[in-house]
Amino acid sequence: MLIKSVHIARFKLMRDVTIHFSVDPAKPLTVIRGENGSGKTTLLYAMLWGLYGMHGLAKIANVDTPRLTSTFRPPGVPVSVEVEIVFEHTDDLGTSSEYRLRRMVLDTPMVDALPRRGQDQVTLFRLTPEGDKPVHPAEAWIERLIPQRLSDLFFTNGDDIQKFISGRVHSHERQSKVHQAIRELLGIDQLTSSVADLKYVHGNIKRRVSAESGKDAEELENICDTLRRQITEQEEKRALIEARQKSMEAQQHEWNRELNQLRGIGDLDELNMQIDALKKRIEGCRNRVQAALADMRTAFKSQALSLALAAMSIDQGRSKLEELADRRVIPNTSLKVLEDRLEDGECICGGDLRPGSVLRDHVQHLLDEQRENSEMAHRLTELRYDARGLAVATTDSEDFATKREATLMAYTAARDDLARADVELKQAETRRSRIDDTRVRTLTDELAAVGKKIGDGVLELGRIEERISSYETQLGERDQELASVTKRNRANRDLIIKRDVAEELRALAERVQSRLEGEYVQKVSARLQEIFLSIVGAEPDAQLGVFRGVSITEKFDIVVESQHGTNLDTDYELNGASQRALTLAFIWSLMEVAGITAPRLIDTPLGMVSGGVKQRMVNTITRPPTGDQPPYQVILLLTRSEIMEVGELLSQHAGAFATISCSKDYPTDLVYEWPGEEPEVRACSCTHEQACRICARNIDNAHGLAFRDMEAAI
Amino acid sequence: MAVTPRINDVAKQEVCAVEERYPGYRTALVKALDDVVGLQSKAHATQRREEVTKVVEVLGRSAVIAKGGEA
Repeated sequence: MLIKSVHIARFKLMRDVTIHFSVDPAKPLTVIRGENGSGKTTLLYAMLWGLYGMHGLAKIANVDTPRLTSTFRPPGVPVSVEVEIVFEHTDDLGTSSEYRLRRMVLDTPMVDALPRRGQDQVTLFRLTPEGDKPVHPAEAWIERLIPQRLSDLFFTNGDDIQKFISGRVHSHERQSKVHQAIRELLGIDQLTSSVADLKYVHGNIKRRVSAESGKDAEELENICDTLRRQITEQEEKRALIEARQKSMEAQQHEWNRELNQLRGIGDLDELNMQIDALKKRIEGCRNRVQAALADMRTAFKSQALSLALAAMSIDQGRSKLEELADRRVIPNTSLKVLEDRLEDGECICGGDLRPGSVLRDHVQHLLDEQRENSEMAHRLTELRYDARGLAVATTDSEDFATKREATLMAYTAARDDLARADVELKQAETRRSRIDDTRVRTLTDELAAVGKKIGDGVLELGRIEERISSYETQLGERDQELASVTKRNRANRDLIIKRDVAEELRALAERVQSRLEGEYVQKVSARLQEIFLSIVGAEPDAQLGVFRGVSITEKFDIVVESQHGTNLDTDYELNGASQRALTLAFIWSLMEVAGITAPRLIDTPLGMVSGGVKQRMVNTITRPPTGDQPPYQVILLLTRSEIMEVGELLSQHAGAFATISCSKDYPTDLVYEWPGEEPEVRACSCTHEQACRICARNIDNAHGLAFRDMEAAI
Repeated sequence: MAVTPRINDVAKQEVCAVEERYPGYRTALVKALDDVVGLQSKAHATQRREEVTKVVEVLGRSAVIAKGGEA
């Protein structure tokens, strides 16, 4: 089924809106552009209502009778709400026909109460060159062509796309939606039920054959019946236990995840040990700091420090003294010479120094001067000798500097260690404070208990399998006996043929079911991997990739595998874009393998997607089918920001365009005012590269859209 | 069936393993299976099984008649 057009009248703010969709296999995409509040979701709801009536909105609305009309409609005045959908359908023989489905209802808005609503009027016509031919019953036909139970796959929005496989519900509940989709679209459910019916019918005919074949056969048939009943009982028991096991495994997974998250913060016992060690380390650091400080105090009290501090001045003084010594100013030796000369009475030059001589008076004067300077010279001489000792001592100042450096380093290292240990201790204590110790203990206990129950379940399943196997062996033997008794007793030949035919039909149904469950689910799995990896841009063999693959297990669960071979949690370990990619890949692969021709309408699918992923996602979900892929139709409801980066791709793949706008957006966002007293949603045929007097928005200049002269449209 | 075309595809392949009781028997078997699958939309089990019985009876009768013809 492919939708050709929809006409919506008086549904919420859509007073009179018609949109045409592409049914061209070469251009399967229809782009419907609309900003927030422009009516995209209203369009989705209108189509769901048109196809399924209130059942279509039941999952969305919180009340049984959601309002179908605009809130601006006056209370008490009935409004005729109408949706008309024209679609084409190709039957099993390959004949295409066009149909028109019309749903209409009188809806009366009320003040402070739910609206009063009449009975839906639903009509379906097959459009033929000879005229429109009614199809009855309309709703049953629609249910057959596009079942409401699968509407999640055909009509969805970006959020649901993300939550279909991941999301904050139990993983087994989510997977049950996946299971249901696989079973429904491949027809596995219908076959399972068909097989059960055929077994029942076959059993009835067999009983009739046995009844006609005599008492022995009848007794054998009763035994077979009992065995079959026992097998069914065991199978039901097995299904119950398997469902319980699955639920417990899901719970175990959730608890394990929670526990791992808590353990991700840190294992409590390990943290306590770490905190104790850190406290000891801090104590050691403090001792080292104190020791370094004590060393420093000792060093500051020592002569070595004074010498170190005065070393330069001492050096300068000593140089001066040595200079005086070099100049022979010190020590003063002339005093002794002058005294000796005066005592001898003769100068070293031979002059007369006897008392009364002029020269003696001069030398006496010199001697007196020397005596005055001698005190100073003596002191300087002593100082020079003392300074020599200091020169030895100042060499010790280098040792002091080395020691001082070492002490300072020891102090700094100890203080840094202390600071680091303090930070580590605070972090560890913070982590410990975040661990809910009670929850950890509870989870550990619960996990142990559920693990035991799962183990018990596995044992019980083993026992059931044994019983089933034993009953089946007995049944086979009894069936053989029954066949030979029946043959011997020559029952009604026609009835035997009917029995054999029923058996062949049942066996055929079972074989088809088995192949669909095995081979065809694996085809979906392979295609799912191909599509998903191509959207997220992953290579299974890439060294640095995140994903190695995605597959569907024998139990129909979807499993995403990391490069390291571990299964990824689709909630926690997949980003929003990958979650959307996974669901889209699943829907696309399933519908392709199932050979379903149906619309795939998605409201705002690209909300969390950008860059290369966005390009690949749009390319994958909009490109025309190839080879033996069934034709499909994809309708994307996109905002302008979603269109950015993929405009060119949309132009390539789209066969139809429309833009929807709401008059309430004037003048804040819309450029032009429309006539009318109530807010209204209108559609124009602008592509995502165009604007007109209906849809032009203030931001459009920035997008460089081509303006279309649509004066007449207003 | 419109929603589950694969059932028919696979049935057409699998029916080759069934003995052709009379010309057209395999096609009739596939058609009968399609009818039985089509009946599964009926929620009432008793009514549905009655209808399935009729489908089997019709198929069986045609086989009986064909066998009779052979004889």
